[in-house]
Amino acid sequence: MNHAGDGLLQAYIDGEVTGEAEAALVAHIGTCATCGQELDELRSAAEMFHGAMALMIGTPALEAARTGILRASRTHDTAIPSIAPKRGGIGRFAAGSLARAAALVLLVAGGAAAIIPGSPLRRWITQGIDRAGAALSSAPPEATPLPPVEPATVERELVPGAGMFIAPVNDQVRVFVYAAGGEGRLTVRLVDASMASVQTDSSARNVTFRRSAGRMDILNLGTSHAEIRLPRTLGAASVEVNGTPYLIKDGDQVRVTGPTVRRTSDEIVFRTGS
Amino acid sequence: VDFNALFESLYPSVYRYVLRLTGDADVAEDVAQEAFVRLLRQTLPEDEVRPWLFTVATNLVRDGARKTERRVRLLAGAPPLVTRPMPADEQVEQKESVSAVRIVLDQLPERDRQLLLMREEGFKYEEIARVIGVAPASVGTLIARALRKFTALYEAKEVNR
Repeated sequence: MNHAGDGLLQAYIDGEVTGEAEAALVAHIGTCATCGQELDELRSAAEMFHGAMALMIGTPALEAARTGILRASRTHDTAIPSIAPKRGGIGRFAAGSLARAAALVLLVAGGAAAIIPGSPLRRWITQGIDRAGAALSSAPPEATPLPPVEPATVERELVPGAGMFIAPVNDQVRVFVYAAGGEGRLTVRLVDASMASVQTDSSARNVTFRRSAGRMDILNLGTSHAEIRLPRTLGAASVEVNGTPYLIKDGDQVRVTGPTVRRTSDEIVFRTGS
Repeated sequence: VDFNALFESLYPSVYRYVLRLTGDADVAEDVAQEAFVRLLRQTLPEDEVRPWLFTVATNLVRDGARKTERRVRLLAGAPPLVTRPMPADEQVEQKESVSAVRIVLDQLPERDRQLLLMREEGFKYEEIARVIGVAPASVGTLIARALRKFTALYEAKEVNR
């Protein structure tokens, strides 16, 4: 037998040579000093590499990763239709038109009733107006065009599912928001929960989430509205928007450094645009 | 196949592979999670799951798509993450050792790194060949060469320390 060669010897070390081939190789190595020496060198190289790799064992945050994967998967599967509902469709158009027509009739009737104080119809009509208003406000966005408002007062509906949870690491959570602009809004709310969470509104079609241990990146927020919910009991937390610190929580202390629109004890609404 | 069982048996391995490949724990978490999210959309025979995950992870690292948007800078004024306390001299020693290994790994060609790290994770040659894109018969030779390169560089590094 000729010399075995590096490839065959390495395959032997790695358990890839079996049966008769292994028997023949072992017999050869026993009689060939060159191959025996080669085998020793390769073994010690493999051991050195293994020892070096033992220095580079990271500890992944398994539970956070598991939760993140399952939630990301659900978000991909279920949230996208609710973020970007299809426009059109006869049924939806008809339902929207009927709702608007009904509301118009009730509004006209309401106006008439309003000029007849004490009319027995007045209460019934008023209740009907309230119900129609409630139905319209809960209808899909395309069926209920919002009246023009000043940018500073724009508030958008937050759609359940278009968001993720963040498991704290060492009782800490960090949130980074990127590409937020225009007249966007960011709400940070202190809540009674064990996990932090992030949710975006129905206009956030391009937003993506990236998560690592105790950290969430919200990419491409644009002018959409995001709400970050931080556990009230969290030891430390921070929120950064487009590279600027907006909020730092240290125990019970909350330091606000970003531009705010309004603030209460449990809720801070930031402006994300320039 | 039960997701939890797959996750528990394979996630640490994928994470470790990417961490060693890139030296970046954030990238390792991102890539490993992304690979598993993609896995949930696949229907694969059980024996193909592991090579598939490593192929996806390798491609994600190669594309660098995750890395481009990653921010290294910590939020100014944010509290640092608490780490396990370790004696100062041990910290220095460990840091130097890890740094030396990292430098040597980074000096190897990308394919050599992938070969060695997949071997370290216990892959069969046929699986390595499929993920890396080489002939199965050449894997032993390529690994032997890569190991020799690593050893030469690592020993030189240790002599200089």
